[in-house]
Amino acid sequence: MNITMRREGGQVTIQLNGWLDTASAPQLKDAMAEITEADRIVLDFDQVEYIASAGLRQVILCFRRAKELNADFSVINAVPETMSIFQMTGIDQKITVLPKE
Amino acid sequence: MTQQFSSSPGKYDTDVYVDANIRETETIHGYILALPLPRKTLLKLCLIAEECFVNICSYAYEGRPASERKVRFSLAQTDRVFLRFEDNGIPYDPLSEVSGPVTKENAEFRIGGLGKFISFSFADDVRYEYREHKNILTLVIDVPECPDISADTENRKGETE
Repeated sequence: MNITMRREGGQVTIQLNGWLDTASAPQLKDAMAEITEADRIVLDFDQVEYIASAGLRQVILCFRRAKELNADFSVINAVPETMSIFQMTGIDQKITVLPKE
Repeated sequence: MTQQFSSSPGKYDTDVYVDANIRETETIHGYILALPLPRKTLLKLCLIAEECFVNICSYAYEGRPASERKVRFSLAQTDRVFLRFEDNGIPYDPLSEVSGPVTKENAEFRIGGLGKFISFSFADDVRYEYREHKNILTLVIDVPECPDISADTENRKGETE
């Protein structure tokens, strides 16, 4: 899993590339820990074809952290494989998850 | 016509012991990704296997030395895929407490149990037994779009003979 972050004004975009599985999920936690302020935090899932429950847990924790920072939070560009996991677990009902167009 | 699925693989093509260490998930994924199935199906199988394996690694062997922490992983494909996990850790029937999906009401607070929910939701059949001091968990996934490889091979042999 490769993770890159970029800041544009108040928006921080975390770009994920690879499998967000049990082994790689802590990397997202580390990336999120680097954010101390933001108006909006975006997880870009364009290059993620696989997410396990450890990854889902981390996404939920990112969402909570964003709330602590009073930042909007969303997952964008979810491909069908990951979108289906967000939907079957109902996480898309609580967190904004946008499918890849 | 109703398609008939086999209820047992007979013989497992892959039958290995791996350390009950989360790092070995990649090893298990490797065996699964070698199956001649569509990418979408392989990802589903990897997910089911990862959730089960990680659960064993996390809870089955609490307090036991690393040298005793082993998981037997078996894999077979006919017209179904069979994933089998065997450990001699703490007896635990994962089917005893399967929770439902996250709802609007509980989504924010529901973090535990996701793995089991995902793996059991994707599997078409899940069986658990405790036998000879071993937890044996078998998950079966139908792959009707991919006919039995061995049968197909037999057919092709017949065509050329």
